[in-house]
Amino acid sequence: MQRNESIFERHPGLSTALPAALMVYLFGSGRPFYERALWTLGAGLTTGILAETLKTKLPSLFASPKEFLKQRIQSEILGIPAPTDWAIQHPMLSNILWITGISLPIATFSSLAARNLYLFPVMTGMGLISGLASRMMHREEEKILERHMKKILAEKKFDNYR
Amino acid sequence: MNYISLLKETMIKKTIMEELLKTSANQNVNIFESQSFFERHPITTGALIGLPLGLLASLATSMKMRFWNPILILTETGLAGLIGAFGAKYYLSQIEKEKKEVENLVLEALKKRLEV
Repeated sequence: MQRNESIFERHPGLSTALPAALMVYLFGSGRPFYERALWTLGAGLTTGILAETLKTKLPSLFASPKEFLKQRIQSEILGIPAPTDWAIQHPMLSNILWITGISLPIATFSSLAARNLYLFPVMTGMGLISGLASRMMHREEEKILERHMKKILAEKKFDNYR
Repeated sequence: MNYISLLKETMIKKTIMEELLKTSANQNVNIFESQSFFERHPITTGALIGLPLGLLASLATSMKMRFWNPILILTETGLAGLIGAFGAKYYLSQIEKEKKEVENLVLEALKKRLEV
């Protein structure tokens, strides 16, 4: 099956490091240049390395609903055993974990750059809500595609009987 | 192809189809018609996701600026809601495109199964 990969899937490090660095740079306004540059660089590097490592070492964390469905079709129609990966078995937790995980260094460096500790819980909360929203949307996608799959199966069967 | 092998092939196909009929699709016919809230109202769903995120973002901006301007908070929250709304609409259009891929995948799997 052909897949149109998103920018995040192709370049996970770069696509997370750049917005993180920009955000921390903006939060560091009014600080001396060297301090602002340090936090910006720190945020970009840690976020980028974290995203790149997660994508390389735990690719199942980022599996799309289409991948889940592909595995289901293979296991149900062809009898190929489905993988027993932890991230695949707990999609909700894995989605929240990686998005909140990536938001942690951004929140830390933002609150350091702005010299405001309250920013940390606010930005981690944003990461948590984003993780939940991402999982919700993935679940909807799964449901829509699954329903479509069942519809095709039913259509094929009736055609064969006719 | 002689008559016996043709009959055998037809019987195998029929058995597979009967099994599939039992297991997956016809269990719930109404499932095809039911649509989720997201499918019916993608813009509202997107806005509902974007608004709290925008509110938190405006909270963060206000904290940094030490300046609580209601216009700024409303603008930022509204902007996030709009982005969420159109993002969800776009996501739904992408799912519609993916349906074709799923169709190919199912047909491919069925073909493989019949070949076995």
